Amino acid sequence: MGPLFLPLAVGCAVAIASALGVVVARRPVYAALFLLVHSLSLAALFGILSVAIVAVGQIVIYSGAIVVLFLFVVTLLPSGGRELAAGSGRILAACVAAGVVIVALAAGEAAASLPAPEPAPDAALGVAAVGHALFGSLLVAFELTAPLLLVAIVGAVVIWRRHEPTPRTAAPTRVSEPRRLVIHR
Amino acid sequence: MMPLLAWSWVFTLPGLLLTALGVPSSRNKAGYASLAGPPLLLLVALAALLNGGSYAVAFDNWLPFLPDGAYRALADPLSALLLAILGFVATLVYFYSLGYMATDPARRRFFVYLDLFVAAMALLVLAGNLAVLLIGWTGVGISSFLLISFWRDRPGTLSAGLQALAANAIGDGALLLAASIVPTGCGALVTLQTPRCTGGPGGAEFLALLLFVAAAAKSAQGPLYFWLPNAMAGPTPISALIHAATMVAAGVYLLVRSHALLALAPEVSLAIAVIGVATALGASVASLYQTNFKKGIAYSTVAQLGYMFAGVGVGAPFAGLFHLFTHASFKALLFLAAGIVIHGAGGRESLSELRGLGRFFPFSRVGFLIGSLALIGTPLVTAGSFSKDAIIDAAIAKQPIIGWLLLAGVILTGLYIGRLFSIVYLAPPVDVHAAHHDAQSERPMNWSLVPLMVGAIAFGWLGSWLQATLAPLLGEIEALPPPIDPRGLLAFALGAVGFGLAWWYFTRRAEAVAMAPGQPVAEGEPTYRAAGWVSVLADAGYAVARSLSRVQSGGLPRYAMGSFIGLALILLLREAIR
Amino acid sequence: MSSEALVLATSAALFAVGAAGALVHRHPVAMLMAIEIMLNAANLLIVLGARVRGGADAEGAALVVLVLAAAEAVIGLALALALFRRKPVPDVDAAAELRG
Repeated sequence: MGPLFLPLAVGCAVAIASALGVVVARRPVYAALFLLVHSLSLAALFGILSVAIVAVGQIVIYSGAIVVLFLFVVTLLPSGGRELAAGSGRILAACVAAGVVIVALAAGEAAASLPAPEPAPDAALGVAAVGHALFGSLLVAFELTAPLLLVAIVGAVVIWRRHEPTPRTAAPTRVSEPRRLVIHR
Repeated sequence: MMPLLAWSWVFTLPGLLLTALGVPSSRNKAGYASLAGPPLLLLVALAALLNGGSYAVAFDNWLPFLPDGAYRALADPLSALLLAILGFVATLVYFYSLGYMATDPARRRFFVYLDLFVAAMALLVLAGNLAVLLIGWTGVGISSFLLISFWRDRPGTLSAGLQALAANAIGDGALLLAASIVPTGCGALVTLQTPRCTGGPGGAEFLALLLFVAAAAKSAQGPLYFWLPNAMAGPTPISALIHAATMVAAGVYLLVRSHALLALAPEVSLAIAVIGVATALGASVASLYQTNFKKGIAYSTVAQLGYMFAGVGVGAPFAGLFHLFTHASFKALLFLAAGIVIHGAGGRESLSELRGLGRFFPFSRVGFLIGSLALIGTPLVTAGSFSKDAIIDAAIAKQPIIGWLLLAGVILTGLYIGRLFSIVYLAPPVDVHAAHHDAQSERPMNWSLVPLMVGAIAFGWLGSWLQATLAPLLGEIEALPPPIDPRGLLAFALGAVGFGLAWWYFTRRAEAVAMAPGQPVAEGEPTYRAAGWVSVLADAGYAVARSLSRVQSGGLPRYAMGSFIGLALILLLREAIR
Repeated sequence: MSSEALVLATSAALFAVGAAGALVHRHPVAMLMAIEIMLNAANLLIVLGARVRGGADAEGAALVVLVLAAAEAVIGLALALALFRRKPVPDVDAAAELRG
């Protein structure tokens, strides 16, 4: 047990508790808020583990953007997020699957031996080192995230426009461009 | 002469500028300023080829963010040969276009695009490292798009151009990836196989695979073949120049240039050969079902490129290169001859409308016949036999299955080209008045065929001289087969059988355009009926497929459960194995 | 138990919780939130690996995973909202036909 054990234990407990809250919560707004707590607790864990830039990224990108996005969607839900109850068969199957996964991972970790961690000097995990990695050995992956994000944006717009409701007014408004490329002289 | 050759990609740029700016200003003489570029290129390339030697240009730090960001150009006999081919076919296509595009109002734009293409292609050939190669590569892709979609008022040309761009994008992406992952300082094409340069991620295999993908996209091989038949939407002269003789050969050129790297990755080489022979056979069959004259020839180009890829893949780069050389002349000949008939028929391209009209264009008929004979590999008389036999021999020696498949494919070659020749040039004409003659525009078209005819006949004899010139660059090359040898005669016999079969079939049947076994010949005749055991097999297949398709229920929870159970099983298995 | 084993166990537990949640919920947004928990669990594991052994390379990988999570959330929510066109109380089970 190292000096980090107590902070880590607290962080892990909060993370697991808030994850359970997300899954169990009745109203979706509560679930989204639990997700926010969950991601912030993970940011805390990352900070304890000295990976500074990922911790800040978790706060800014994940909590600040993704969870906020979830919150927006949840508040815009027309039905308030009511959902049909899950049958008992599904709950049983879910518990079985979760149990199996836990058992399998636990068995794996018991057998695996972790190397004793040397307290990593901050420079090795600092922002400059990450920068070198991103532009060096991870260059291809880093460059590919750009088209990935572009595809996500374009995909989201395309999915939304395909499901636009047809206008019910007499005079049809042009809501979308014709899909075929026609070049007019 | 080599130093001059290293800068020869600028030769068409003055013509491009002058034509774009409107010099000469009369409508009839539009494009005349561009006519000087390709012959100059041809002369310089020939002089350089005869003189020999090599010359490299290097400007460092030109693109500092790439591992090898220098501007490198390399002029050696291999690039001189490719530039000579480019200059030869481009000169003839330029003169041909004076006739073909005589009445087209956008002729000026056409010659500007042609100049752009020739410059980009020359830069590609002269490229000494991956960065400059990529510039030339994308340059020819863009000019190909511009020329395919040249006629803006016809439907389908833009989508054909976009398809070409799509396939090109895949190749460009692979090439860009290759240029980014080589270790620093290591982009020169001639040193790609050294251990220092294969030390990047993935090693020699990944680099070779990337180059293969890029070459396959450019040369329309494998699943990336789709853009080439549709590229026939462009004017016929560019089908001859770009999509037969030069641009699609850039893929083969890249593989030949990096043959030492391919030797280090035998699995990739085998994949190249397999894709080559599969494409060759598949495209040959596809050509038989085309109802468009130019598309039929386009599939022939795809098939012949498959032969070249097979040659490179089995480890005979010179054989593939030699076939590139002879193929340039006879395929350009086929396209330009077809263009004369199409032009005379007012732009119609479908076989049912062109039926029999070829007999009114004697130059075209002789040219197409010579081209067909070269394609099937008539020994001694035509050049195609020399190169095709070299590929088949090398393939049989190194990968016998591929070699015999290539040999058997020659009968398909004879069939499809015989079909095209018979329908357009031998069959009784459907409408005698459909052919229009315009002597003024036909003169340049007819006479530009003549050097190609000479080439299709004579270029084969240059094989041994080429081999001697290129031997130091390509390593050990097997001896070329003699002009007449048993396997060559067997290949020719197969091709002649196919040709004759097509001749007989398509001149007898007045309405037949496609060979379609199983279709009813006339009303009242019995249709093909399957035997009982065939339907039993079909029903069994349907039953198996139906039961298996229930897994694809569409229910998301079921899929998710399946994947979790699978994950759990994998984890448990991992523990059990350990 | 050492700190590393604690974090490993937490990651496994989080993954299992997320898996159970993804299977139980019938509302698409709830299902997506459970999937996000699973992604976080994996990211936690990568970060642990960076701390113990991997160094800056693994940290860069964790950043890329974060970007992946963002892209996936965007598309997932767009799809979930598309399901709302069908009925006001959406049901993932009912979306069995790919239509439109």
